[in-house]
Amino acid sequence: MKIRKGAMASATALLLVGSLAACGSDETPNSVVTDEAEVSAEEGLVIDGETIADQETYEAAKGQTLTLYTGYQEANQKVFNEAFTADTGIKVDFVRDVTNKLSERILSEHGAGRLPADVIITSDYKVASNYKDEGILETYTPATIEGQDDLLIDDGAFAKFANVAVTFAYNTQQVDEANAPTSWKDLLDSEYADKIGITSGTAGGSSIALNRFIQEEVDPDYWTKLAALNPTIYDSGGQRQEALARGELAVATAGTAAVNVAVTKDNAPIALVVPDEGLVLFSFFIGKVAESANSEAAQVFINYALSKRGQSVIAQVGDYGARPDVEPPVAVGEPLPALDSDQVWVMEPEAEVEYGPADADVWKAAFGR
Amino acid sequence: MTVLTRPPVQDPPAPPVTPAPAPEKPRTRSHTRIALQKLRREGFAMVLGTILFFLVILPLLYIVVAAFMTSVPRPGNTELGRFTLENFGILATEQGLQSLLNSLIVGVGSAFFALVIGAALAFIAARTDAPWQKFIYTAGIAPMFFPAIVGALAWSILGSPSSGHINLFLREIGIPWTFNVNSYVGLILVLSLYYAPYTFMLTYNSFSMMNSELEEAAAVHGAGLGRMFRTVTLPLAIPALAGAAILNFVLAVENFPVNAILGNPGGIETLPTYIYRLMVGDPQPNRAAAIAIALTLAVALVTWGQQRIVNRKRFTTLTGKGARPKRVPLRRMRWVATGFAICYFLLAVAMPFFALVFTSMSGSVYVTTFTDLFSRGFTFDRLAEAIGQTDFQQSTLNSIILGVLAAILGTALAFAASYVRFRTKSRLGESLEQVSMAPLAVPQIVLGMGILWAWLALPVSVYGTIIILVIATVAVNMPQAYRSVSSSMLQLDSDLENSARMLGAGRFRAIRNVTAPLMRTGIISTLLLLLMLGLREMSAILFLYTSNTRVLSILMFNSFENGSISYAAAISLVFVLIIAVLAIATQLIGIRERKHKNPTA
Repeated sequence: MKIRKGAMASATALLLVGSLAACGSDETPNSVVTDEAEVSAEEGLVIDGETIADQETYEAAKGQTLTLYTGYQEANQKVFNEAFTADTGIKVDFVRDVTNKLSERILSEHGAGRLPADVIITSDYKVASNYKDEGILETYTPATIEGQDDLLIDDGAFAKFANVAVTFAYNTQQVDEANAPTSWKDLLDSEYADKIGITSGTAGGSSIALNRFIQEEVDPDYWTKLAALNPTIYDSGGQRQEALARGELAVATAGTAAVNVAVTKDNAPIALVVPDEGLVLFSFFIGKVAESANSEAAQVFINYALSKRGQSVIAQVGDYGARPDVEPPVAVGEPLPALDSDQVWVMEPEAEVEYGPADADVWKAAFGR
Repeated sequence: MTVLTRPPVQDPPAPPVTPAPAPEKPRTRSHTRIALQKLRREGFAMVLGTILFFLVILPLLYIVVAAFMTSVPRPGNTELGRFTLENFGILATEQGLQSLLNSLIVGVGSAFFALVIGAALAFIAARTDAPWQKFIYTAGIAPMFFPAIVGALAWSILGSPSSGHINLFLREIGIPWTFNVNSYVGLILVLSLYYAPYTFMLTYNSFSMMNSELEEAAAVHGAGLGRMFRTVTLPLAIPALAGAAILNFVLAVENFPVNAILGNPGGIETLPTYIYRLMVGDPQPNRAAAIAIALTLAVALVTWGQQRIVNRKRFTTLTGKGARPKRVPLRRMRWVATGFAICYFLLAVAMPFFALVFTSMSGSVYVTTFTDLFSRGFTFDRLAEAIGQTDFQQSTLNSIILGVLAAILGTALAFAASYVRFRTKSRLGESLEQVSMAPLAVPQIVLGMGILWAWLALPVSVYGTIIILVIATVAVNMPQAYRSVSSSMLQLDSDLENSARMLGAGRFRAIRNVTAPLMRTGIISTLLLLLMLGLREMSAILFLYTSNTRVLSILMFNSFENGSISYAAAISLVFVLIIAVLAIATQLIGIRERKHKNPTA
């Protein structure tokens, strides 16, 4: 009797869990992407008047499922993929991981001849260039940016996909708007001592870009001065932002899209700043994998990513696109400065290789790493 | 007169001595026969050895190679660079030394406190007359429902210096003190709380099986409670205590999630988080491998010491023959003892649980005062949204599949290895045991990396599927499985199986009909142990998952890294629920088994 009772209890509990899972709402579509695109599939795929793919390619692509390996922020990538699937009908399976871990995986899988990816999105020019050198990427010029050669890198091995903005934000419960910092130099104020949050300056595209920007545009001794204020160095941007929102920090470096989502969705008490010296942008690159299984789907995806529609989806998520002819993103109700304005500083891909290690050493020396 | 003489007795003629025929044929037959016998005896062990080689040794070899080379032994990398000892230089850098020091501080501190807490609770539960015995026992093992990562997350919510619930409360009632969980104290506290149950379980059995005759003898000779405890009880329990302390030390030093979640904001880096940073943040995989080797060697040394002590345990701890141990009367300290258990339960289970509940169900995610926690209303919305996510549902399913497969495979392997070791004359038995126990000395995150490199290179297409997660989980938990099955197997006398074989049963039939049924409790408890460990596995599969093979623990860690604390909290709650269901099932099966064995009890 006891056994049966016990078994029934366990079964009931498991059923409960299962039903909770089932009765939860379907994956709520992110309300961040608000507008609908005009899709026509009569003669090839045409979205908002731009030809994304010709008839033959589109027919082949429709039956395929794209496998995407991406280093782009997961929540943003999800939204983008959903818009893509909604507009084109092509499904996307994606693996998202931090750039370096993703690189290790890609290189290992490629070495074993078992790379299932069709498209790769990554930050870090050095990493992307390495993929090209290893023969992982094949040259591909997206039809939608025909003629815009400055968006193509390394002779078309990969293209710029999005530009992510790095700036700083403050906790509105700890800092008044009137006294809020307005420039990067303001962060060196002693009133923020022990209450500043940054991420490690040795990892990833955002660090490379920020380091270079600080050296070129702000103050070569910036990191040493900041180190004197004892900032907390987080392993990930997400943790840093959460700490800022919870009030563990007064100010922190931040990504515009992430702040946008946190404020609109969760009412996080944080406010974004467009600093006087400028916003810092670093690029994500997109490339087509050589001899991939779903080549046509890959072509459609990359064309879409660099079309006006695709780029506007990125902007609606809160990041800058790669194309200058697309509206800049809106963060917490305010449009950010245009891509080609002088309040926006974009990291040159090749400069990453030239200055990256030296800049990282400066950062490491300042923080005793 | 004629003398009759017998004719002299002649020795019977010696039988013709024919030289023994040159035994050409029989000699060859016996050589082959011997060889075949050896194969039969060792064949199974060799197969097992090969499996364990691919599971444990090969990944380790890749790590060792990486530590001594300048480039990474990943598949497709044709040149390994050159041999170098430079990578070990990183241990001498300021960062390396600080990480080492931090690991030692945290390891020793939490080993000590986990020992004290766990042993105290075990003694109170097993040997005293404190009230609410069942509750005390539950309090001792309940924190096992909380995987370390969940505990870390919950304590991060409870103990953050500015907005942690504890600090909000202290501020509310006007106490000017702040508890900062992102500190050495915080790390040691959380690790102690969640490793104490291991100590509890190891020492509870030891205490409850103690023969009280020795203690009674001491009492008869006039020893007071304290003296008896000091001179009789404690020394008898030392093997179990020492074994538990060393186990806790090893677990604490190897722990990754607690150090990552709580240590990072406090600037405290330990060896596992340093390794992770060198694999992921600032990629220097060869240096990471070097640190991993050093850590592994240190842990191996300590583990070897533990094995020596634990093996001696068989001879010093008395078994449960004779009278049930007498309950030590505590008199005035009765309620103090129970109070201690209540405190522990609050800190380890109740408070973290409510922190998770508040975070995932409170009306607003961000609160500034303690009363906000209650005044903003409660809603199931966020919880429902979290559960409704496809990646959540898929992760739950993956977790269950992973747990079940790892449990079955791991138990089977452990049973086979244990059987070969203790029930056959195979000379490979000891080696099999050593290889099975080896993963105890290797940080899980390191083994995971080795498995990534090793198994990608093999012509078996398991990479990217859940199978490789199963492989990693089995490899990492092999020591626990082996130990669990072995202790059961050692308790079982081999006479019964031998009788079956003498009566004509083949070995497999004997196992199936005699050994396995008799070991049923042990096998089932191993299955359930591995199921629970498999569900909680995170560090070993950190490099092996893909987005469709994510499990709940990974999903939780990812969410935390992304800053989605309320999503992470929601996942944790469901996670804890699943584990609790399993634990209850374990208890019920255990009760059933006990009834099965003692129908009158």
